[in-house]
Amino acid sequence: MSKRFSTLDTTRLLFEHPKILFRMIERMDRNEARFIRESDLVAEVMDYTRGLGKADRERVRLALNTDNLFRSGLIIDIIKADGERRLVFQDALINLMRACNASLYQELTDARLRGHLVTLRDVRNRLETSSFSDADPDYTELRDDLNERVSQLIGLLRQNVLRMQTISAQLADLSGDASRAPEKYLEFRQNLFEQIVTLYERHIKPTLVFLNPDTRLPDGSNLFETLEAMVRLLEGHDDHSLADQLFRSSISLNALYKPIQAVAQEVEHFLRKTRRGMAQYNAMEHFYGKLRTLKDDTETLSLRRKWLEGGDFARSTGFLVGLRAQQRPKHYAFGQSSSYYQLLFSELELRLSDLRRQSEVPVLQEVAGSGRESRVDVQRINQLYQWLETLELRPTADLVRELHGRLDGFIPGYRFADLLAALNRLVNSPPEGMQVTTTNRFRTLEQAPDCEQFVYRKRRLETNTTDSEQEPDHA
Amino acid sequence: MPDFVETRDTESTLNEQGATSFEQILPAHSAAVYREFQAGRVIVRDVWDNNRSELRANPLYNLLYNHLSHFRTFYEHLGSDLVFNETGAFFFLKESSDEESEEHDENAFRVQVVLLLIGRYFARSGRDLDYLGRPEAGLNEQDLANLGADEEYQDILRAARFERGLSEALDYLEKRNLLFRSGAGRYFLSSAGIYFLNQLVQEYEQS
Repeated sequence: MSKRFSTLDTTRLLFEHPKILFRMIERMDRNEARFIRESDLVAEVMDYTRGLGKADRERVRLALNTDNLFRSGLIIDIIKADGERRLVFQDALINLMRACNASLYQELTDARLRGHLVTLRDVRNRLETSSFSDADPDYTELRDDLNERVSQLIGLLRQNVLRMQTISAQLADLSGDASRAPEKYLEFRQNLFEQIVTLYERHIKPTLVFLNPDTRLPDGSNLFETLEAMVRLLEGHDDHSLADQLFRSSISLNALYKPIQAVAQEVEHFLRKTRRGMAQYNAMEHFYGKLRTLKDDTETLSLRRKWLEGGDFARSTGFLVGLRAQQRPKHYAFGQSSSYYQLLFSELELRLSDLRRQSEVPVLQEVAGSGRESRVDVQRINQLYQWLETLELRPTADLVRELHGRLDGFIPGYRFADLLAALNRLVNSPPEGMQVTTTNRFRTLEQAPDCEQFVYRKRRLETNTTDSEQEPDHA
Repeated sequence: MPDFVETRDTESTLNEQGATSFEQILPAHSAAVYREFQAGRVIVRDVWDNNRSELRANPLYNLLYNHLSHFRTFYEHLGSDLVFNETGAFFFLKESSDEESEEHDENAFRVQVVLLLIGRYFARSGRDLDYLGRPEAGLNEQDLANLGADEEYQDILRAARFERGLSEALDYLEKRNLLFRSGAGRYFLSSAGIYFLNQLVQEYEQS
């Protein structure tokens, strides 16, 4: 291995094949280290050169040989630790490499920004006690230092803005993919979310705060106050050229605020949208899961559980609880016509005659359940029929309702089933001089305790003579 | 009774106020509000105008809003609570009974089930729930077909007593002003409907 390349040629080769170092820098950043492991470099070089022609392969392998790199000064140190050799590359080379690839920019973290601010404050403090004389080497050194620091800072921030801008475009691409491929949407979004949050919280927000002239810092002046103080100091001591330079720098820094703010807004909006969408999605899934368990309950072996029991569910969200159609108050058909009073009195009379026979009221046996004996049924019906034999009725438009009114609450043990039997009886053998007409109108009756409903066809009870004087509509 | 007024001054002003709160409202308008509530409807701020195909302000909502305390008292006397939701911009009438019967919550539950199914479907399709509440977006024909084709949704709807499935469920919401039909095969949620979904999201975020 006698052949060696000059520093220039080695550098030229490195930039001709930049992928090797790009990947090494990526790895370095991932590990948050300041060195590259020799074994990694060798492996990477072997891997990369496999695809090259014979001459090129030879050349690259030679140039990236540790020995060559060290001798040409591109590697400044070789550390032996943990049984491996660690190569420390020259900062300038690494930074140049980063400049060639936006994705390799190191984001400015809060800590790094603070570091820069602290050094600037330090320079300002030294400036305060400085002689401001060009003959004083301390002062000239300080000037150089100041220039370097400020330009470094501007460079860093500019890089950062560039990097942020490319990453937001990248994220937009990613999210575009996500919405086009719904089956991978979740996975995409998860990744996206993490990336954006890190970028926003760790890099963009601190940079914004750092560049905001109105920021108040607990430990001292902010960037622009520091710069301004230095400008004033320099002006006070007639170093106008440096003061102007510094002033221009502070303007450049100030100008960087806008693009970062734009990026921040974009990312923030993006973040909110994604986060909101995610929250919506998860919330819907969460409550749907609850609903699904309710549904699973209906799918047990029990045949009676057919419906969802959502009382608890409804109350837990509370939305529209208690909403229901309100029943309109029923009208009372008070009238003043003679026919109305006639009807009223005839009804009262009938009820009174019922009351007069109260001692004869049959007590129908309570219906115990489905297993009751048929003997009981017959007995009940007979009792009811006997009562009906002697029941006086007036012509009415709704015989069923009328009958129900006369029986319900008057005959103990009365049920809808009895009404059916009673109707049957009346239809087949109506009271003397009357006839029952069945209409095609349907009506519903309700009985209070279990809210049983009886849907029936309206039946009219009419006197056999056609010239009925009574007005049955008020029944 | 002018004599009475002269002797009992304070009470007369009270009486007058009581009288004016009724006088400020046309009986026909109040009756229209009552009819809405009677039908179990929610009164929302904006309703869909089928003829002009746009949302328009609901005069009944404005009436309630402008005479809120009057209507509160009025319905209190009728045995109901007038519930006003400002965020969702809607009113509804709540039976003020203490009993927590199943039937009491049945309507609320059925409404919630349908809204949740729609919301879940929509969120899964990767869209922001806000779009459900916009007349120009909302559910389209394809969405309805997808919703109707999902076995599980149908099972849930049936178990929530929507025997005829999605169409019945949508009618149920539409009848109550929770959903509007903006065209053939197109629906979107009213502010009240959207409010429920947003409330779920909020509740979830806070849990």
